[in-house]
Amino acid sequence: MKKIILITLLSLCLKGYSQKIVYIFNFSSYNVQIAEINTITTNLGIYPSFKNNTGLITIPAGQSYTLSNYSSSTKFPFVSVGNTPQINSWIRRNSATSSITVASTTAYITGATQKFNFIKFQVGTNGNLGGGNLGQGYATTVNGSGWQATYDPPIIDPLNPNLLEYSILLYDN
Amino acid sequence: MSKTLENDFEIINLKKVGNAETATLRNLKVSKTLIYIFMKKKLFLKNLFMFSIVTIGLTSCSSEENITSKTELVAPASSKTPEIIAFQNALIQQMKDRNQPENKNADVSAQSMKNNAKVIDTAKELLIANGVSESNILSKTKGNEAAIRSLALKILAEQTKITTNNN
Repeated sequence: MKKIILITLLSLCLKGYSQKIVYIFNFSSYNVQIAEINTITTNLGIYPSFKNNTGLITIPAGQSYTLSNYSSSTKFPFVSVGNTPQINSWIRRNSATSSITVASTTAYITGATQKFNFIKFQVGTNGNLGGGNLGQGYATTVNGSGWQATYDPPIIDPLNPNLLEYSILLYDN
Repeated sequence: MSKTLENDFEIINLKKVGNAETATLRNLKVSKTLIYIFMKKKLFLKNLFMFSIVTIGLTSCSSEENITSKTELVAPASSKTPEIIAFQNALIQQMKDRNQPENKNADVSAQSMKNNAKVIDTAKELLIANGVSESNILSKTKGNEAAIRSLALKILAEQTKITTNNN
């Protein structure tokens, strides 16, 4: 009986590590630049955490950027193919003072318990129209000059309870 | 004590030892059976554990398969179709209304229900425009709004993804 309860709990825990997709839709009339995509541990501990190790990711007006990986039903899509630009490495922060750069494939393995946290972004030419942080634990809406950005937390789909979709929408206000 | 009596005692003691040995043997057999049952039970639990893991894996695979099979229906588009624009606008309107100060504290308002209905309607139109029949939508989503929205978001992302490397 004890073991059956343990197995059930284990199954539930495994179910808790859900598949993650991050959508960033730029429906605004301005170019948007993503400076950081940050993750956090599923138990909301601060460390380890990851952020993309790329330059600014520019999403032109009317376009979108997606992080997804359907080969795993549990992991954060550190390896996300079919997107431009691809993120080939991530910075793993182990503490406030310690961080290392790891390949996406390594992050995919070692960051098995990570989920989306927030993005740091700017709008316009070199951020001349403003920017901010958006996501969990941060503002769910950021306003700027002529635009608004909203973080839409995942809605659990009962048919795919393993799927967590994080959506960020930028649009003209 | 007489010799006969002593012999009698010896016989009784021997019988006792014999009974004890038989009992021990019987106990051993029972123990063996119990161990066998226990091992079987352990094996059963082990099998159950393995079965759970495999089931979880297969469940995940099936949901992935659902998603990927649905993706095949999506053809990349160079420009935005009216269905894409309608779904996009419905999403924007939903977000804008959600962010209105007077709506922030209202969990379920008439406006939010109206916005949600619009999002789902346009999502269905987008799916249909991408080759998914209404009956297919119903069978794949069981009419669940979150599932319909999720499928439409996938198509929207696919058709609006960044086309040039700008990194």
